[in-house]
Order: sequence, then structure tokens, then C-alpha cells
Amino acid sequence: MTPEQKEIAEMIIEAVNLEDISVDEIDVNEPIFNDGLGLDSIDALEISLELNKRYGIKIKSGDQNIGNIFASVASLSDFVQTNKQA
Amino acid sequence: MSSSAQSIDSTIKGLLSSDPFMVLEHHTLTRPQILSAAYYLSLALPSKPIVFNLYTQRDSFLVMLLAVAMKDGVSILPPDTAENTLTQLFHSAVSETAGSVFLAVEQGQYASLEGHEALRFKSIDFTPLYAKPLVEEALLCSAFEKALVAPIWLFTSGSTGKPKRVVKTWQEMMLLALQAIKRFELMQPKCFVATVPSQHMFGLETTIFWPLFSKASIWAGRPIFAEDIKSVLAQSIHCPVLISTPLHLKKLTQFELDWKVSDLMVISATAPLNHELAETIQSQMQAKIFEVYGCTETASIASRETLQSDDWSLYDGNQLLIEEESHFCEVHLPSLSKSYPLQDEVESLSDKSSFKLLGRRSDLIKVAGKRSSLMNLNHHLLGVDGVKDGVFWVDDDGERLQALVVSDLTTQQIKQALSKSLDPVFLPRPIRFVTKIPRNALGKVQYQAVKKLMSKGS
Repeated sequence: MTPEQKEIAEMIIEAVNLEDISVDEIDVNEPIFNDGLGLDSIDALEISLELNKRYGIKIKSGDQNIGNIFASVASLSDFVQTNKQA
Repeated sequence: MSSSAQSIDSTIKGLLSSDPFMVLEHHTLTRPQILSAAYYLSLALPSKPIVFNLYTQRDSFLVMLLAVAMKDGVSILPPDTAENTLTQLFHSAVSETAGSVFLAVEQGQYASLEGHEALRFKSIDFTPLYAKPLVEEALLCSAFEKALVAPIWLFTSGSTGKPKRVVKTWQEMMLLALQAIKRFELMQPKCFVATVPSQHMFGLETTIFWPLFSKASIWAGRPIFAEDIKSVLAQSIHCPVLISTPLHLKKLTQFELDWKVSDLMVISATAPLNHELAETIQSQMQAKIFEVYGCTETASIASRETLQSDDWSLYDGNQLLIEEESHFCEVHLPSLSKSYPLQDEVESLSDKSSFKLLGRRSDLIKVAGKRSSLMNLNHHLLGVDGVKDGVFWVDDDGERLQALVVSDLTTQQIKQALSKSLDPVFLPRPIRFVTKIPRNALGKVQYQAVKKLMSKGS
């Protein structure tokens, strides 16, 4: 896990209150929704809120393919690195 | 002609209007276009089809819903899309009918279930259906009239853990919608945008039946993210109406966006909206905030303007029948000539057309617009192999579920097992492990003690 991926994993845990999971338990290539951490659309909204607060990123469903961005911790981390406000 | 036959007749004529109805990203569809597409699709469907309608796009959802009705079929709107729920409902549908049963889904959705040994999938390309010429008006009207008797199956979560089926015909949905249309003055053009799915009663009436039979248009997508909702609302050509839930609205306000919409109306349901949140929405979005009250059996029956009144006003004509001693309450809906028991205890106010909500009759819970009961959830939790004892618990906000569990399994193992039978919104977070669940001599969970254990851990 890269430091950037760790930061995203920690953010997700905090944003959606997964306090019973530790960062080390997260597989960065596993799907974030449904099969993996079992998150729903409200969680997606909460994660988008955190991305906005921490990195100034405004998530819109028209951005590339939202499903690909939220596919895994690794893909979300790549997206953040490319799009975060300096 | 009776007055109800007259209103049915004039409502069907209203479907021929060429006003914008379904608003898509780059174009809009009128009611006759949607009806024509449904008519063409119905010609391609097998006779009396049984269709699980899982579409998230409202236009696809409605075209399929109507096509199935035109073909004398049954539309099934499952309570959730967990694999076990779908498989169970699918099996019971197959065993109850000789008709062809399939799941109608968008391409790529529920990919994990594709190729499932028991479930049959169908994806349809709607674009060519919309490109065909409009069907002649008389033919559309007669096809629609025939469709009015077709049933739609919705579900509530029963206390035994088995979803309870509620059947409503198209005609019933239409007559119920006419009351709400009157209440919210929807014969004046408005633009609906909804964050809720169409598969539950509140979503079904607000995203499909209210707009279909009024002059309101509906945004065909289901926007989740704040920026999406903002941009869709800003595109509205008439007064925008946002249909959502307290949980979603609360998150939206945390973005502290400059919404820049005018004349916005917010309609919320599924849980009471507290005043503090309502005030925040009002000041951030410059919106008027309304709530509707109802259940799957009745659809919405009453409303209130949250910051104006704590009392609920029944839609015109609806009546409450309350037994004084037991407080047992029924609502009589003249539109359907039927009465239904309410799950809540209510107090009728002297004007008879309004009431106060006193509280839940049972342990029903709603999370993110989806309904279950603690009893049902506990039943699934205790069904997990390796869970010795366990209990679900809702925090005071009523927003998220937690669970207290006696088990050697890991959190992940329990969640994975639960996710096979429960919708993701009902997965507990966090799960706390204990050596013993506080129960009294009769085995009943002592919630005060549970609360203490939960707060200790956080």
C-alpha cells in the first residue's frame, strides 16, 4: 500500500464510520462498494464530501466513469492524485 | 358516468399532451413518446410476463413497467437487490405462474449476479424504441386503459423476516396520485429531481405516478452527488422539486454549496425531518420544505410543511378511524374505497383533517429510505454460521445500525455473510464483540444495557 492509498483508506474508514476495520485489513484492489466493504449510495455521498473538504475535489457522475473511480482504494487514490487542488 | 370514471377518462386524455415529461441529459421525452415506446416494447414481450424491474433510469423503468402492464403481466419491485432476496422472490414467482419470468436491468448493473444459475436477465436497448413513430392516439388510449388493471408488486419487510407483498394496480396508483397532485398543485408545471429509487412506494409515486398524471416533468437519472443535484436543479425550466430523504438531505447541506436555485420545493419522506435540519436546508437552498407521510400499503396520505407545523394534514377526503381505548388507527382512502391499519400511533385533531404522530407501534426501522425491522435483522444476524448471539441496535440519530455480537468470527466475515441476505444499508457499522448479550429471564434483549455497552466501546 502506498502512502497515498493509505491516506485514502483512512479517509474512507473515517468518512463512513467503518471504525471496526483497520487500514491493514483493506485490500486496495478490492471493490469499495457491494462485494468489498459493503457501502451504499449514501456512503458514496459521504466519501465525495470528504474528497471535497480534504482535496477540493468536486465529484460529478459525469467525471470519467464514476464506477471506475470508486472501483477500489487504488483507483480512488489515483483519481485524487490527478485531480486534487494544489 | 361516475365522477371517478370521469376523472380516469380526463386523466388518460392528459397523457396525450406534448409537454416535456422525462428529462434526459440531451433531450426530453413527452408522455406520448413514453407510451408509444411501451406499446412497441409490449409487442416484443411474451404474453403475461413476470418482470423484476430493477432499472435506475426512470424512463427505462417506466417504459418497462407500462409495457408489462399492457401485456397483462406483473411487475415486481423487490425490497432490495441482495442476492438471496432476488433468488427467493424469483423462485416463488416461477412457482406461482406459468408465465415467463425475468430480471430487467441496465447493462453492466448487478454484474456479479449475471450468469447466476437461477436468475434470468434481460437488457433492452431503449434508443430504437424512442426513435419509432408515435402510435396513433386512440390505440395508445385503449392500450393504456387495458393496462390499468395490471398489478405492481411492492414489498414491506414483515416482522418474521420474510418480505410482505403489497399489490397495487395501475388504476389504484393513478387514483392515489391524483390526491397528491391536487395537494402539491402539480397541474402547474414543475420539474422533479429525485435521489430515491423508483422501486419503493415513496419513490414510485413521486418519480413515476405523480409526474405521469400531472404536468410535472421528472429528471430521468438518479443523482446522488451534491454537484450533480445542483446542476440538474439549475437546469429546471419550471419550479424545481427535490424529492429526497432526511439522511441524503443532511449530507447535502454539509457541502455548504451555493445552490443558486430559486423557488425550490423539497419533499422528504421515510423518516421525520428535524427542525434544525429543515432550517439549514431552508437557509442554504432557499427552499420550502414539505414532508409526506404514508406507508407501502397506502402510499402517501398526508403532508406537512415542516417549518410551519408539526401536525400532518390528510390529503383531501382521507379519514382517520381511531379506536379510543387501544389507539388502534386505520386510514380510510375514499379514492380506493378501502381502509388500512397504520403502523404508528396517532392522535386525531379536532378538525378531523389533521393529526399528530405519536410514535411507532413496533420496532420498524428505516435507513436511507429502506425499511426493515430489528426483528428481521436480528433473525439474519443469528442465522450467520458462527454467530452465537447477537442483536442490532439503532443509535439515537436513527441513521446507522450497529450490532453487538458474540462470536469468534471477524467483522469482515460477519459482514460478508450478512451481505448475502441484507441490503448494504442495513449492514452494521460498527460491530462490537462481547462475551454476552444482556437479556432478561425471558430472553428479551435489554436495550438500556445494550446502549451502555455500545457507548463504552466508542
